[in-house]
Amino acid sequence: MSGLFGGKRDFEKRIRMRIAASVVLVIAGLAAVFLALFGSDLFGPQYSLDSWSGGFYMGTGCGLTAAGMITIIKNIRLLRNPASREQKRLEEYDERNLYLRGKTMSIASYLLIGGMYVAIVILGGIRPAVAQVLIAVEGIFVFLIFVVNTILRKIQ
Amino acid sequence: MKTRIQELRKERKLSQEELALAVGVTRQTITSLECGKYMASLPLAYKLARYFGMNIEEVFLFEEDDL
Repeated sequence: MSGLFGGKRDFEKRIRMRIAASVVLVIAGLAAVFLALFGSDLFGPQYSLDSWSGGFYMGTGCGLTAAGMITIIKNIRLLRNPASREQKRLEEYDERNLYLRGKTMSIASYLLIGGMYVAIVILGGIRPAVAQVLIAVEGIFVFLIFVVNTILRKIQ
Repeated sequence: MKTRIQELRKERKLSQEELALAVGVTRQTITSLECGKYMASLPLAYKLARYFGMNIEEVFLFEEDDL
């Protein structure tokens, strides 16, 4: 029952773990930005990124840093404010919310598989390379569903 | 499935928010339970019944179709 409803101490631990994970995100983001800006200076011109790759790493780095910092600030606020922490705990462990989250993921997965299948059929004759990538992604996705389902059947 | 949650809550002059806090769920979950849109898990049904000082079958009215 404690797993379903989530103890107060467990939730505090979870918040601290989120802060730690976000610090890692910020470091990874800053590293990506640093490499995008100074990668060629550090490792030589043969490692310089073209404009698309440079933009990609810069964008990814900025996104990771911003997301990490926002998560850190939000979670520090939760640690300092017991009332909003309790409210957040209720929302996260509420069994109807958990049920809706699972149902949402399930429906979205079916839509994603169906959408990718339609895209593969349409792109098969026009852009074979894109269709092949989509087939690979769809295959991995279906394989993961099978593996996770098999594991869950064994442990539950 | 029908429940007596709304009736029992009103008898005790409780708001949905207060009941939700007492059993560790959100107010929306209590609303859905009262409307019969959501079926409670066994732990939550037990918590609600214990909160009202009753048995589960006195709070949740099972019908043949629910079984």
